[in-house]
Amino acid sequence: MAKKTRTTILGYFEDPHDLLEVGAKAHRMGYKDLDAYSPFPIHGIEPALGIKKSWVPAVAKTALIIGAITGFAFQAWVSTKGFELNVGGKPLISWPAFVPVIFESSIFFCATTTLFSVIGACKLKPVGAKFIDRGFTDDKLALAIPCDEDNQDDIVNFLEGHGSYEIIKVEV
Amino acid sequence: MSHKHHYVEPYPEDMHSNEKGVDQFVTPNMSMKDVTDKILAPMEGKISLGWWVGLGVSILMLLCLVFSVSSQLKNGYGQTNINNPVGWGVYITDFVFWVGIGHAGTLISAILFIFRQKWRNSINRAAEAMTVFAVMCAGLFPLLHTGRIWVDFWLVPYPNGRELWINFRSPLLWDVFAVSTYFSTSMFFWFQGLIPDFATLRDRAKTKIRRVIYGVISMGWKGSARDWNHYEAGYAQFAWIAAPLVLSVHSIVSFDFAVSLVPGWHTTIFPPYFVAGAVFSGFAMVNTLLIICRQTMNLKEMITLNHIELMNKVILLTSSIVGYAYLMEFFMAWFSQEGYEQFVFFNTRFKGPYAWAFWTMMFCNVVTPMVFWKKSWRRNLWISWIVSIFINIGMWFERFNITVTSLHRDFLPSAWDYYTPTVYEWLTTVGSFGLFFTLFFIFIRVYPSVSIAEVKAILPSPLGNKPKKYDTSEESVEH
Repeated sequence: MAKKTRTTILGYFEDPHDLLEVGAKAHRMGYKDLDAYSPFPIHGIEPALGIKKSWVPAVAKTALIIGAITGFAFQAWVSTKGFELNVGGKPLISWPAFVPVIFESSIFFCATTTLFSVIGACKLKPVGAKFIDRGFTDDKLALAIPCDEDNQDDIVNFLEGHGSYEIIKVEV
Repeated sequence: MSHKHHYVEPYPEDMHSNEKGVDQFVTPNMSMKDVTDKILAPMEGKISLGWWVGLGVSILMLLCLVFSVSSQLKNGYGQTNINNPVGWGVYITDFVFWVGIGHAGTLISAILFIFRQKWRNSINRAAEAMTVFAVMCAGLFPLLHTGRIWVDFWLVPYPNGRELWINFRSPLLWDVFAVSTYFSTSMFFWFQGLIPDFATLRDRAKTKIRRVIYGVISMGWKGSARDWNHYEAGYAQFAWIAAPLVLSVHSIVSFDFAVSLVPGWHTTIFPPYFVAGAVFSGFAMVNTLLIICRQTMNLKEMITLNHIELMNKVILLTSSIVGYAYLMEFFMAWFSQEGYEQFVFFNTRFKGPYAWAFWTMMFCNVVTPMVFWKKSWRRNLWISWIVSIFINIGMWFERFNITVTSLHRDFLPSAWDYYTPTVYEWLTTVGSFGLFFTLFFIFIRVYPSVSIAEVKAILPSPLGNKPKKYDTSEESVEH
């Protein structure tokens, strides 16, 4: 089943700063679900468009802690149950010696989770992606304002009035 | 220029330029389009003869590795001279050397990112590639060093029919975890950074095959602000874990030595000394590669002399740190009044059969980088490149010096020996360089060797010289 798309008006800008300004203004005017397309991350665009902070770091940090616990638990199990080995009369759980592997396993869990979280959060998939404009990975910038039947003209006028040099309607 | 009077700096914290054009890291007047075209030109244009020659020579070197490894499989580890008392020879030297080379890439991509050093944006891609390839070369050596390559999987903890588990108290095992985590994390970090650039390649692809391949690996990247939001959060997360990781990896490598009781190895200065040495050798290797890339692939607008100068400053700093560490080891040997320690430093390094290795190291690592005190020499490409080669050699000898000189005069004088690597050990060493350069040559052809998206983020004026088509409303003019 095809995912439901939404009619969106794209207004192209040449300067990232203009995009930021106009986007912020659109957000203040109450347009919802704003987005933008750009070949590089524009700093400060998330608060300007009202985009929530990413959940990726929270998930990644949870994975970091799970990795540390797993690292310790596994070493403790190996040293006490898996292969009980007395090394120089030291305690079986000689935790200072476990620190490097605890550290590395926490990093490994976190790194793996971060990559897959980013892929998941951006809904990246190897095949079947839709493209709006191939210039967005080169030098084109656009502000995307989702619209309804009744406010299309308002949005077009708004974008035109703020210096957008090209305005198109797409299904995103 | 009419756009000048109302041009507003998009985000002042990103601007490294001032009126005089000093401290700029991308040549002014480059537009976003120019950046894409410039960076992708070597990938989209005709393959140059130089590239084929470089790849050919690298593959020939790689064949040396194939030969020596197959020969080891057939004849056994006895084909090397690694034996008592020098049980760790060229293989461990090569291992530590290559891990160290990798460190500069992570330093540039993660630590300089955390410190908001925007100049890293045009060199981090190549440096990260270098990290991944160097760690591949590094990982090869402990695997060869075990002698029985076919049972190397025993290093991994898994339930097995032998009912054996690995010993987590061994620094050599910590190394297995450190190096494999380092490799996978660097690889993931690198891959995430590549996604938007693969998307650029996909969108510019002229042939169907390129469009399909780059389309699959860019996974439908659209460049929307919501995606960039997650992307940047993930990128920062990677930087924050890669920074302590890189410090841990060479610390753990130094534990291989420092946790033992061998005089010359058993010192507390090793972790910081190894990390500084790793950054030092890595930056030298980055310079070696970047200067070649810059000149042959016409990337002068993005890899500026300012980059080379900053790299040379880091080299000068880390050279001073390793120089200090070398001298401090001698001081501690004297100050501790510990006879065995003094014997290693004064009788086997300062003079003795391996003094040539020690003095090569001292000259290459401590003396030659001092030319960088002079500004015009820091900005001279020939001097920078030649010094970087000296440092590569010097840092290899540092590891040789640590590994071999501490071992060759054992506690029992009857066991003393002079270790000379065999031709197989040299072929393996040359072969690892072959592997490294083969991968690097392929990389510069199929991957953008400068991060396209990140360079665009630091452009002094993203529109280049082009006047704006439309004036915007008065509000943006006021600023």
